[in-house]
Amino acid sequence: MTTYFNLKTTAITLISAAALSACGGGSDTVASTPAADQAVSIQFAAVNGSTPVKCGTRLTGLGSTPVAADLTDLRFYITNVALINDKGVAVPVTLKSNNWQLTQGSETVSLIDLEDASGSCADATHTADTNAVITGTVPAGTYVGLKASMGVPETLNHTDVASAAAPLDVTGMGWSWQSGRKMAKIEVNPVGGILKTTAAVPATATTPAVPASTSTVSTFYFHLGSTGCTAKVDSAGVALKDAAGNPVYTCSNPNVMDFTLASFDPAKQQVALDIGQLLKTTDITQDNGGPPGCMSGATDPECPTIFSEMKVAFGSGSNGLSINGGSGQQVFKAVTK
Amino acid sequence: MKQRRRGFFVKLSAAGALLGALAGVVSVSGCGGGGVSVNDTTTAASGDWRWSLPAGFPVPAVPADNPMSTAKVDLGRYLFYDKRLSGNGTLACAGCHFQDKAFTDGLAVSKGSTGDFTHRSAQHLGNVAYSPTLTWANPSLLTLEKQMEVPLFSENPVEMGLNDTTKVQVLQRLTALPLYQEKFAAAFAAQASPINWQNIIRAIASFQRTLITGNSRYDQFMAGKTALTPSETRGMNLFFGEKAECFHCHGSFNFNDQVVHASTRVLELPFSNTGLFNLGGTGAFPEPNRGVFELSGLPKDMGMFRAPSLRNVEVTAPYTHDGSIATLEGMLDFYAAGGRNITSGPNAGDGRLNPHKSDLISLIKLDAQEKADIIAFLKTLTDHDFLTKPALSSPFPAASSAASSAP
Repeated sequence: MTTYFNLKTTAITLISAAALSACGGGSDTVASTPAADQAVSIQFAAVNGSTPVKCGTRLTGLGSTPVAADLTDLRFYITNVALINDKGVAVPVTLKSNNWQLTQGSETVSLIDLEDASGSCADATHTADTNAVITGTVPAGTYVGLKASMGVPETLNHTDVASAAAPLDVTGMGWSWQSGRKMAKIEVNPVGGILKTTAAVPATATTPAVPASTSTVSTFYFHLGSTGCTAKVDSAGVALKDAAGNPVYTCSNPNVMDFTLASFDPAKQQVALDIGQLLKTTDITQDNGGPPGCMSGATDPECPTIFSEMKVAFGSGSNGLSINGGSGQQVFKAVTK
Repeated sequence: MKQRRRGFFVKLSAAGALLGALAGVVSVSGCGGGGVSVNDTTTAASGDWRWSLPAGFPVPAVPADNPMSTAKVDLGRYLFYDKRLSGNGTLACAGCHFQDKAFTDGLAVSKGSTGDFTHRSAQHLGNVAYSPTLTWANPSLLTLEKQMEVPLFSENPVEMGLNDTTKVQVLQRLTALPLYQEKFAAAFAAQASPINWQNIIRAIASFQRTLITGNSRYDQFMAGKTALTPSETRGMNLFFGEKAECFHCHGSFNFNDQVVHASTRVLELPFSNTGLFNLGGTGAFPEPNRGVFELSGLPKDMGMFRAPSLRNVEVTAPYTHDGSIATLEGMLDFYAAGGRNITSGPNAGDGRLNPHKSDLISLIKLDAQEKADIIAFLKTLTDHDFLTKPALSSPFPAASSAASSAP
């Protein structure tokens, strides 16, 4: 069932809210003509099924071998968020400018930071600041749904962490490995740890077989990021930059997760990332290769099931794109505020 | 290819014979197919910066947004040697890059500021200004400025230990010091608040570009200022010859196969699998050191690593990306065998049969004298001036808390 709502009514509430919090710097001009842009505020949350997720509160029943776990990090970038109008057209949200969201050209990106460095998330690499909202404007109209992607647009992904504009300046989200960003950083410590298995080595004509070995590690990491990235250089070997001064890279697997919520009312609902769904088909009590958990590496054995939940094609044989625009994904869903 | 190798050999032999006649332009075009033109342009300058380059060395390529300047190089030198740059104030860049070891650290892998060990061996930094890629196997890091994000900000493993908390603390720490207030103001005169991470990175990169090494006995020989011993000469001929084939991957003026400079027209970024591993006969290298494969996930990139410059190779042991070969003799034995056969343990497998191995790594019959000759030649690449030059050494008194020291 699709819930229709009239943004004219909703906007009154949202604009009041915006006026109260205008200390962010950008005070919206409220015009009375029907064509005026309408303020919109999209709230985000994390859940495990129907249970809210936060630092210090143990999650239960995670993964295909259900296990309790403590959250240690939960941050992700959302890019190119749009509201879908009653004609089915995705209308981009024009972002307000603040330290959690950035607009460059036609690209927008926001950081949703749901960890507050408290409890199980306490760590020197974490920040107490949190952000659970994307704020901006859309043209006046009737909106019924939401379309967005979890990730960082390619043109902004490879900027220097040390000098990038917020929110791309967060060191913890830097990913120097692929000269980009961790687009999502979601980490849990399963109770009892993770049994990490180093694969057995088969015998050859000249060498004996080596049995598998195991060890226990504590954290199951999920780092979403673009892989297979190389910098483009000109014929003289100088790294190319685009018109905006950003370095130009190509990545074989962008690994940006598209999703659409056909029915979404920002006045009454929020966008929830369901960790339970993300990890539903992955056994987080085991690790069979690569770094503990899934760090998006093309041969990481813990990645295929997670990417399958995100409806993103995975691995070096794939294009690393969302499949059918993320149709059928259940990781992001609309829940009542 | 055959023709090119031969041409390269002839040219160098001729240069050797001419000795003192060698000046101006040396054409080096034999390295894996990448044509590189090397010009003697020691007079090129930008702003107040004037390169002082060895004969035959091209002008380094410098990013347009970080031009060289004397003040920036000076600031970068202080920062490079300052432990206060790390999150917990215990480790300087120089803590893993010692001048007397051509700016590597003599260890297989290095210990970061919080106790983590790096995955791979610290690079030496001699002539790093001429390296288009900067780590063992990462074609996505193409400037020193970009590469520096790894040791500064990496979380796994932690090296300098800068995160969203400590990077603010370190800036406060530096801002409190008159030394840095003055040096940042001098290096970034137009800026109101110059003490920031972008400028720290730019200054250190500028200093790193001055780590030029080109005054070894080999260079002096090429300039006609000294003679090589008979053993060194035999070693040189083997090195540049078809028998030992060393020069394919180590044949540029910088004794590697990835070179970039201000006049580069064609850039190639070769990486090579030298047959170090072949886990269980599958071709695999052990994680997390599978070379370019770690980035790309492509089977063709398994075990592909960058050939390091062999300048100062006498002092940069242990060798290979994982520091698993301790001596030059061991390296020569490894290459002469056409790879490494590991007969037991978790890395067992015959690297000589690695399906991804470079065609250039094959069985070479070298007798003991020939190996000794090649090693004698390699030792002529040591630039003692570079290893001791005060301008590249720590600006801090040895006892200073800011100074780096060996771990």
